Amino acid sequence: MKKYLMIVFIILITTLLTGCWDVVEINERIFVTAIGIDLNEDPNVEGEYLMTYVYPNIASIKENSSQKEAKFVKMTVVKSPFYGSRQLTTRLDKPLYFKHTKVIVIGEDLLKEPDKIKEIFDGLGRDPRINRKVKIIVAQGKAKDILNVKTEQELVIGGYLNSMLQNKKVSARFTEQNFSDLIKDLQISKVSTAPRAVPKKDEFKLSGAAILKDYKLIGWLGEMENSFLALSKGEVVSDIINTYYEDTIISYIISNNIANKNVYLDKDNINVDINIYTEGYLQEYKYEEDTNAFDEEFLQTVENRLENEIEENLGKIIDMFQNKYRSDALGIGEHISKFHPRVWKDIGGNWEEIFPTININVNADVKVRRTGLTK
Amino acid sequence: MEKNNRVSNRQLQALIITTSIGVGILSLPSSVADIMGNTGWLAILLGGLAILPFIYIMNKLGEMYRGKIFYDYGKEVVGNIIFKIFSSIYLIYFLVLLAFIVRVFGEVIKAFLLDNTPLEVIIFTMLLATSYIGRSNIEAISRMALIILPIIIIITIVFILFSIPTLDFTNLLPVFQINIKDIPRGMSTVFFSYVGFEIILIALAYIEDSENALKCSFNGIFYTTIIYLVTFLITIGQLGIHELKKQIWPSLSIMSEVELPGFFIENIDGMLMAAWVLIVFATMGPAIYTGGVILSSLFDTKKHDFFVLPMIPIIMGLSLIPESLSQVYSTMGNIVKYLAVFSIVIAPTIIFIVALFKERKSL
Amino acid sequence: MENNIPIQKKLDENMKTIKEIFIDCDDVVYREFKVGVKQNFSLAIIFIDGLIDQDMVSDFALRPLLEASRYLEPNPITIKDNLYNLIKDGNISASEIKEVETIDEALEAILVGETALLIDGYKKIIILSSRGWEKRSIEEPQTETLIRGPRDGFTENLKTNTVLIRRRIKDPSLKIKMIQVGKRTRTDVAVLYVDDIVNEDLLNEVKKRLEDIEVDSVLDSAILEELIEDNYISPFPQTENTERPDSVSASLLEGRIALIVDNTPFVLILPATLGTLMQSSEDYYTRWTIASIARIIRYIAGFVAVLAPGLYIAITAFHPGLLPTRLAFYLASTRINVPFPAVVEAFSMELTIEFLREAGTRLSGPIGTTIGIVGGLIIGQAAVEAGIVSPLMIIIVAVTTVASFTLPSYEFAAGLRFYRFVIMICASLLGLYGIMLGLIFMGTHLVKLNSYGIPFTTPFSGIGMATGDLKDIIVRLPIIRLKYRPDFTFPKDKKRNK
Repeated sequence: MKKYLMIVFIILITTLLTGCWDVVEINERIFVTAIGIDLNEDPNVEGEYLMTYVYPNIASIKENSSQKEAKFVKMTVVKSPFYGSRQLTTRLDKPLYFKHTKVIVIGEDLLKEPDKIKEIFDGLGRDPRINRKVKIIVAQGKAKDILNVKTEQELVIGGYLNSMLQNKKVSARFTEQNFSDLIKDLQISKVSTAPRAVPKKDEFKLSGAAILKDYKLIGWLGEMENSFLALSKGEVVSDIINTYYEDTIISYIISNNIANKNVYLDKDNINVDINIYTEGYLQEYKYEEDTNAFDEEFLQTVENRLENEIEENLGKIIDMFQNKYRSDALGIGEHISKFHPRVWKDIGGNWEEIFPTININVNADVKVRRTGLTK
Repeated sequence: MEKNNRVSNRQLQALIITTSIGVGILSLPSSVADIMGNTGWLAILLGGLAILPFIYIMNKLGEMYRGKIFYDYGKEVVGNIIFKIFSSIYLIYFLVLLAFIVRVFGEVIKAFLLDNTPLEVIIFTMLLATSYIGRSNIEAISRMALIILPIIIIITIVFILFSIPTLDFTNLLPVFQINIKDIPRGMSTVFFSYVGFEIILIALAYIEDSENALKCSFNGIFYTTIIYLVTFLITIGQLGIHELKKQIWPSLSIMSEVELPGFFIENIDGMLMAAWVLIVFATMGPAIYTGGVILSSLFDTKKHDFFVLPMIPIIMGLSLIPESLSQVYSTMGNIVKYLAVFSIVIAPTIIFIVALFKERKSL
Repeated sequence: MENNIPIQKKLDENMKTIKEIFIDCDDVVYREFKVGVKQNFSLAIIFIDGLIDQDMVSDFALRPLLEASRYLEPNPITIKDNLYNLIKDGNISASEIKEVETIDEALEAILVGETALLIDGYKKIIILSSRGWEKRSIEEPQTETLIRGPRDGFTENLKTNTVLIRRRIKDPSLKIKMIQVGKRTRTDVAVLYVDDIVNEDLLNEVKKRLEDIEVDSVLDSAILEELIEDNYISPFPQTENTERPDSVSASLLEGRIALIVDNTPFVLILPATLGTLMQSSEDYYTRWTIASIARIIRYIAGFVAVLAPGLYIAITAFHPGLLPTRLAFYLASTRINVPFPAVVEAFSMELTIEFLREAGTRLSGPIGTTIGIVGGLIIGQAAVEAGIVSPLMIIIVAVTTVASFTLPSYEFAAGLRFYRFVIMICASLLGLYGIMLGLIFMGTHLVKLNSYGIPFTTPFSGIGMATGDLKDIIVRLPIIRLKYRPDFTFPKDKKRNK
């Protein structure tokens, strides 16, 4: 019995002590927080993609650190995007670690080549190291410009971009998009949006969105357009809509937004009703002695004006999607495929042609619940 | 004291649940969605129902031969020689099953936890750990099952709770867009995920409360079905049907999508991986124990623990034969399926029918 | 003292035999008397000085005897009869008096503290019960102090201890059986049980194991524990021990068996299960909400005590992806200039804590506490400032140690300590997967463990779950709700209150 145990023990020891293969000390890793992918324009260097990696300067996190650089940016040109991490080993002393990557920025020019995008997306999906909920941002211009910007208040932790994306709580001028949803949308309705980043001198803006169809960039959405589109999907968390009353601007802040679609057929055509419901409060009117925003009639009028505002603007956007881009960014196709599967069976194949012909009505229902602290 | 070596009803139930939920739960949503689309849950339900008659047969056999394990009374029923052949097939089944399970397990661990560690090491260490409990008696195994069960249930509940905010149940629509012909194919995929509960062929011999054993066995399958259903619903809610079909291990991909508010642990996939090790262990332990028992009954020895360790190199060798993960699922998976059909459907039914005849004859 | 030397008729011969055996035992006292009308009849008493209650022997036994026998015929039988008469009439108040027929039994009696009375011409020796020696008074037990609850603890004296139990359970079904173990030490062991609750099989098993003991010495209950338990190799105890009489009484009423061993204040209670080892009598003396929370915290502490350092190693060295991003970055920053890998850090700090712990045990009283504080604080602080160890490691090690002290059973915590190291090793080899393997190993071991036939992991793994034993294990429900005794002892009488 004892000999038996000894043999087992020896086997154990020899197998297990031959190495701890996966041990890497935590301070010996490079935590990449953001990745940028561009097309390589430099003909002297071989490779099609320009990869940018952003990672924090760990030494600067300590309290009394004397380091000024909060983050480092490294770029490299590669033949295939996932080769980048390997190639950088020639220049970095530590291995790259992607489990904390929060943001991927894709350059505008790259989005004009759907095959390359498909390669990249496939790689992202397969890689177990990159979280599927990584946020995707489209750069107007080059991704590396966005990531190289030295912002004044550098928040290393989480990355500046990531923190910005979380600001959606204040405005709907851009809607964050993660990789998993992007893929889902592209597969079902062939269309999706991703927030647009515009580089400026000392900062960058996240404004509006890029419209992607069939893995290709076909246009941009402005900030206001993005916010109305988000309204139609019920995704607004908080935003402002302005309208006029007499000649004063009235600002209305949305605090709650629900939207749903209703699809019904009549003999010629498919009709879609997009019903938008918002709740909110009045932010700004005009400070005069006799102004009374607390009055029900007044609020009714304001609500009507706001509803018109929404319906008109959204109408314009829908027009744009139907005619200019011929892409269903509103998710109508998805809705039909789920709720009217028999109809979808007939038209699903031709959705791109059929979509511009359907009737889409917008019905907005705005409620002003409160007027702030004053009447 | 004299209550030694008894399996209580709760333990029986726990055994069924923990042994069935094994490697199957990872790929189940995807494979069933491949065949049946959004209505995959139907296949899961029907698959669970389809298992019930065989559980019934196993229970009845246990009742008829109270106190004897399947591998002992089987000899009485069909005769020594035929049963030795049966036992050998069972043995091969368990060896291949274990090899399959441990290979998939190793691949998953390598993908999600330990990138650089050689597959062989992961497989070997897991086999060693399960051999420890394989060498003990059925009582220890049932106790272990009863301890692991709440962990599995808690993880499932946590899973559900944290996924709910981001779930989109409209992904389940449209319903019933399927070909009736696809249902049997769907069911056979599901059937394979229930494999593992053959341990009750042995456990029923030691059962404490024989009257309620049947009810508890059914309960066990019932809960397993529910857990599979929930997994399917959540994965399809999170991923949508298209993505679901593409993922190899949707249940795991989901985990990385859960966002815990409060940020105490950001990537729960670590926690799920830990629970996953336990889940697989709960399937492998009883399987290796059964293998040892079969060998002991084939060679007519009293104790089975001697046979467990030698099985390790065999299982390891088998598990390393397929060269790629897809080969594992296709070739090995098919072999396991056929052998599983034998061990759950064919053999018990034959033995049951013959045993019934014998009873009639002697009446 | 193997031979059964018979007693001779002549006093001198017996005295010689006894003196030869007790040669060089200078604490044995021999006193010879002459009684009878003509003072020609010899009596002798033999005892060990210090073991007897002097007063009792001289005042209550000898004086009446000597006085009464002055006037007697020199006839041993008469003298003996006289002695018994004296007792019958109540002149001698020796509460126990018996006769023995071999020298061995007489010697045994002397060694136990009784007095041997030899009568010339009489072939038996009379043993007078006279035990009385120096003993510690009843004090608060040092290892288990409570905020609220009785403060008497067991002492080294068997009789005192049994009395403490008798005072709490005034039921004739409380049985106390005496056994002796150990050939040379002849340690008295009292087996206590409540007859109409305890399970017969358990009792017989315990008795059998006690009788099977064949060793020279049983000096402490711990040695007895090791000799009779199911698995002495396991790092986990399968018998509970306590210094508190109230714990023992409560356990007896649950159908368990207590073993009181002479010369040690630690009383054994068996069977012990995972659930009972995590219970403390304080739980029953505080309100149930607090007690329930305390119990849950204990379980969490148990896990922390085993897993914390291992998890630290696994997460920092293998899977930093598991941490929230901010924490990961912060950790990395604290470890920038640390020269050692996390594994070495963890092991060296754990080792240091073990040193401190051992040192603290050696030195008791004020020096011990000072060493603890000084050692812990200064070493830890200095290590962090020197940059050798990261502050998080110190915190983890400290919290782990404190957590292991929350467990009521010191031995169980020690078992967990052992596994803590095992898991640390597993973690350093295979990360989180290694930890799970270590836990599986530990779990299997626990699950296979039996405590006198009862599964060790009982309340969690089968017996008793159906009848709601968990009510008293994980939380502590109010006493009214605890109507039934726990299942694991298979008691004969399930209901607690009639």
